[in-house]
Amino acid sequence: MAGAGRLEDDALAALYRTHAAPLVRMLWLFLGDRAWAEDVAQEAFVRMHMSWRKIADPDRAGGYLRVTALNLARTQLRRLEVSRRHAETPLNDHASAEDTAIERADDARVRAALLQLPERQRACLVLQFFADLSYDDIAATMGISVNSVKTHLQRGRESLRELIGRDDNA
Amino acid sequence: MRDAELHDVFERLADRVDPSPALLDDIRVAVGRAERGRRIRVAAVIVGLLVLMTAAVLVLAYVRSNTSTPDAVRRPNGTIVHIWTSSISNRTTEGTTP
Repeated sequence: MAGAGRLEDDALAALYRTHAAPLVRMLWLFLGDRAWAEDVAQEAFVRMHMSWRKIADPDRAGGYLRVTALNLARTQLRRLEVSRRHAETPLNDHASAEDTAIERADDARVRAALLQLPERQRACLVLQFFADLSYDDIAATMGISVNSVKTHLQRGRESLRELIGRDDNA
Repeated sequence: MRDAELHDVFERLADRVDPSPALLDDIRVAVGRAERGRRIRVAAVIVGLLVLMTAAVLVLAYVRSNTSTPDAVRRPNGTIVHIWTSSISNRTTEGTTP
């Protein structure tokens, strides 16, 4: 049962069927790498399982998974940025040739531009345009104020359009 | 690019990605490992507490068995003084009763 107490295997499988695909997709948009997105999604599911006594409600599982996964992804991204600064290797070079080969040109440009944005702007854009969250929900998911969300979204949109336009002119 | 177009592009991009079929099994394995880790941590805490409590009981028993019962001494002014002598440290502790 997925009630109070332990999360049994069939309940975990049911939650997986409902939430795994949107979670991996959101993480893939944010991180730009499928394997990385799956690793983070897996860790989020494990944390949900270990915290099930506190959650205890399948309706809250989606929100918990989204917040946990996004926080994990942002932490890992920040660590990677720090190590990249030391190693001076390019970040966001995740898009595989297989991935980009079957993308439409417009989509590929948007994806490439998205991965160049600062992580907060990127997270806000993914939560708004992919997860369809309201400003309030984005603020709650990211643990920031609604005004900050609006600012990040505004700057993110401008940067995204600028980057896509630059690609068009190149 | 308008917001509606951005929305469509994000959806189109994400729709191409599906979790690998092995992900659920990987999650089950990771959950099992995390559960075992939690059980080991809980057992370690319980064993630690038991060791601490046993040690505390043994120390108390030792101290009690090596502490004399107080000697009551009546002072010339009439007050009664209880004197405890520890056979461990040979220190005496005085307590006065009115």
